[in-house]
Amino acid sequence: MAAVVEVGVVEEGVVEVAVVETDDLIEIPLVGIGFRGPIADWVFSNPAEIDCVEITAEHFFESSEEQLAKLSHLYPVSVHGLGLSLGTPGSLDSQVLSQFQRVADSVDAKWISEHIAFTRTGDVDLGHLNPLPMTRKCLSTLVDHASELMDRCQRPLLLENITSYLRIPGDYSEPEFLNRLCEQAGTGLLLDVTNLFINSRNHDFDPIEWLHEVDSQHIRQIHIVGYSFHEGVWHDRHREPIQDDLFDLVRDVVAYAPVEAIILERDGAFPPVNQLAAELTRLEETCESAR
Amino acid sequence: MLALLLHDREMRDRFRADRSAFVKEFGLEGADTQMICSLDCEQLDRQAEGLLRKRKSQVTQLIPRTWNRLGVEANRLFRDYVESSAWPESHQRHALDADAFCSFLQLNSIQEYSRSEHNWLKFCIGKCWFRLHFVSDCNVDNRNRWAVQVFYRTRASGTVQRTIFCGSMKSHR
Repeated sequence: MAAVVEVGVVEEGVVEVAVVETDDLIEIPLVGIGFRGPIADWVFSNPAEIDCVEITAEHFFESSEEQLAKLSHLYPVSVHGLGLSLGTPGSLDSQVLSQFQRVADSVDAKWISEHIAFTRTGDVDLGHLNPLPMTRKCLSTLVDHASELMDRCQRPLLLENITSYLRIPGDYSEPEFLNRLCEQAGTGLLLDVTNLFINSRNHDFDPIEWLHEVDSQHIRQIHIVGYSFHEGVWHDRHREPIQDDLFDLVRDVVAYAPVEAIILERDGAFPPVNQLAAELTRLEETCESAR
Repeated sequence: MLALLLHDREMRDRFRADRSAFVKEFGLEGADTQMICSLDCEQLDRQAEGLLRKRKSQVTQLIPRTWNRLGVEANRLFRDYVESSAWPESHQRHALDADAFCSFLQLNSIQEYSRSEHNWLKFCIGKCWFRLHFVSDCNVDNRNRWAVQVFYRTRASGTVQRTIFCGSMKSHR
């Protein structure tokens, strides 16, 4: 099916094209990539496969705003946080919050995002993401911190599910916890499809059942990268190409929820850029087939 | 308490050996006790190992030459370093971690320590606009060469490294 398109010649050499009926047009998510140093030149060359870019806020805390301005001139940009530790009780680190806001403002971020996790406590900074007990107390902490972050940045906030080898008993199942969090904080969900897949394998549950327990309207963005499997355990090393079963899961998520963007989140072992471009193209095709 | 358990292998061993004594020792009460006591020790170890693996992965990307030179000893030395030092903080934690690991290798007179790579890392972490180093271990065709390292910052390109070898010059960002 196609939309009705009117074509007219306005003046010599100028053709005006207007889409006058859009009922049959399908909306597919933007497909983009996480900005990293080794692929910076390719991203700045503005290839057709990249619709949007995600930057990691902490990577730009020390840098000038020139690179950020250049990126935001080329793409819609989302700003992703790693270190706000939204699940830690008490105040958010005001210095980190200010730096995060500066980066978000510099690129006029379309979205901001952080993880449903803790990275530090008063005693120790673990440096990476760790799971939270799905309890009322943790829910309240996350809601407060998410609200504070949104108030500060004045931008839509998406919260992301993490991988965890550790399961901590709590008051809610994970999908129920996510639904309550998104409703109470007024945030969306950044569904990391790879994390969902890995958790489902390591903790033996059905990712599709899990998906359908989450309110579809919350899921606004997807993260994806290949998984790895080593000594009987599934890992998120962010160094592998996307496997077929992950493309299948992306199709299920895009068919189920109003996803607005998909970000390929490669952190290491970067292949030639034509391979990354091919992955982005396949993601776009997957979205088209899902909608 | 969960963070401390993930951080400290000895604490996990004590927890595994006797949960009740552990809970009593640290004065845990109510829901916290229940939550901690319900943890699966194998999952806890796996999560802690995962943290260490991610930390190591970041360090290897920052000092690839040193890591490659360490070869099969790299993992053991990194574990020794981790157990003898505090975990670095701040958004620069990975670079600080790599810096501290290099200092650990230097302090322990590990032959594979690369002064030239460490110099560059320290420059990237710092705020200095310009720096010169005279080193003997710059790598050309897998051979160490004497060289002058010139580091500087520009607004457009960020940090820049130029290495002046005897009779030749190579540069990369």
